[in-house]
Amino acid sequence: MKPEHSTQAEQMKDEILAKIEAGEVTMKSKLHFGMRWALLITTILAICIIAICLVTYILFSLHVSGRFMLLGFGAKGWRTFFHLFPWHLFLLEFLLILILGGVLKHFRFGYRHPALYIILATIGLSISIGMGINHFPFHDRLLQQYEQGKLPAGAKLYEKIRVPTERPDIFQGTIINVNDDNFTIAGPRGPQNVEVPRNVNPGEFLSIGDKVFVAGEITNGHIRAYGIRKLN
Amino acid sequence: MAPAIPLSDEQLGLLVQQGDTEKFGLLVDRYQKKLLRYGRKFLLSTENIEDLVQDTFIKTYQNIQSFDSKQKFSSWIYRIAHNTFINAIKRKSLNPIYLLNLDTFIPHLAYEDTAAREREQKEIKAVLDSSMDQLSAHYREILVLYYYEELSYKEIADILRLPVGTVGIRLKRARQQLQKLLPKDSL
Repeated sequence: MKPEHSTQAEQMKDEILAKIEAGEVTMKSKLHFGMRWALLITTILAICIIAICLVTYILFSLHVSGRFMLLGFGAKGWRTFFHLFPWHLFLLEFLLILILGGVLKHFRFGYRHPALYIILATIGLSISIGMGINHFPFHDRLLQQYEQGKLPAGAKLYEKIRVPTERPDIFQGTIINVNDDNFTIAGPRGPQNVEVPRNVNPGEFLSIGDKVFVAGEITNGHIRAYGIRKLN
Repeated sequence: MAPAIPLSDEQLGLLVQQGDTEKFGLLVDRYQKKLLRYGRKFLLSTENIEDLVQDTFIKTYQNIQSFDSKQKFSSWIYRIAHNTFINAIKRKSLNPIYLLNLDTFIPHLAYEDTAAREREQKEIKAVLDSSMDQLSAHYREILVLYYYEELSYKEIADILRLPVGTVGIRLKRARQQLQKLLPKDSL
């Protein structure tokens, strides 16, 4: 006589095989799994493309608006840079990378490596590819098309990219007058006088018609500059 | 006449993929006892375990075409069993399921000492049997897979979808938790 547990084991096996035989349980086809893999790969590619486009846009907007220049203006410049950084886009990028990390868990390399490595590698890779893409005039052309009204009105990403930020300590404009210790710019906020730091003669490196980026504080209607960069 | 060499699990899996459903019976024979033990120890219940294991085999058959015969069949079927048991836990809310696991986030170093496992196995199994219910689900599961099912760190990593280092650190913490639960001279 067979022991009870052996009979139970036989019973389970027989039940499973009977269900298979009766067609109640069927194998999913190879095509089904092929389609699932294709969908997974498409999702990964789509997330990667969106993430890279976002990185290129962030880098391009920092470049075009002159905000990168703030990093050359000392501690004050760095503070302002971090204040003006598009953190909402950065958070969106981070969210995409987290989703990508989750999707990559379907692959052995995705779960065998700590999530921190995957996230850092993805951020590093997106920035490198983004910087590489920005060597080509991809966004410049889109911005140009937007400014010429060739892009749909929905392309709001490019709307305020070149316009100086709302912050009162960042200015852009064209020089209309240069003196020994100050100069005047004409920008979207009208003509503004810029006082340069002591021992700096603006006439040595600036001329009328130059486009400039100025970081400074407004005192008595004048901009007291702590950083100036020529844009052209 | 030389005795026939039994087919490996991976070879059987391949034959089932090609339509030899009878060979699936052999796979059921090989894994039924192991999966029942895994389920009973992990879920701390004998109720419905047969149903869950049967469910695991049915899912295994349904998804057999996604099995890559270059990989280990055991890791693959244990992964299906793990998912089935986790779903059962979620349905019954037996234990809270951890969504965010910081252990998988940062890197850990792991050294697998198989000689130590052989030394500890008998004692750990004995104390585990009496203290299993006092351990949290994720510690209980990893101890079962390592000491009862005798799977390697890499196999456990594939089943639980964790980095190998995390398997090592989780096992270490599970042993520490077990030690805390027992009289000082038990381990």
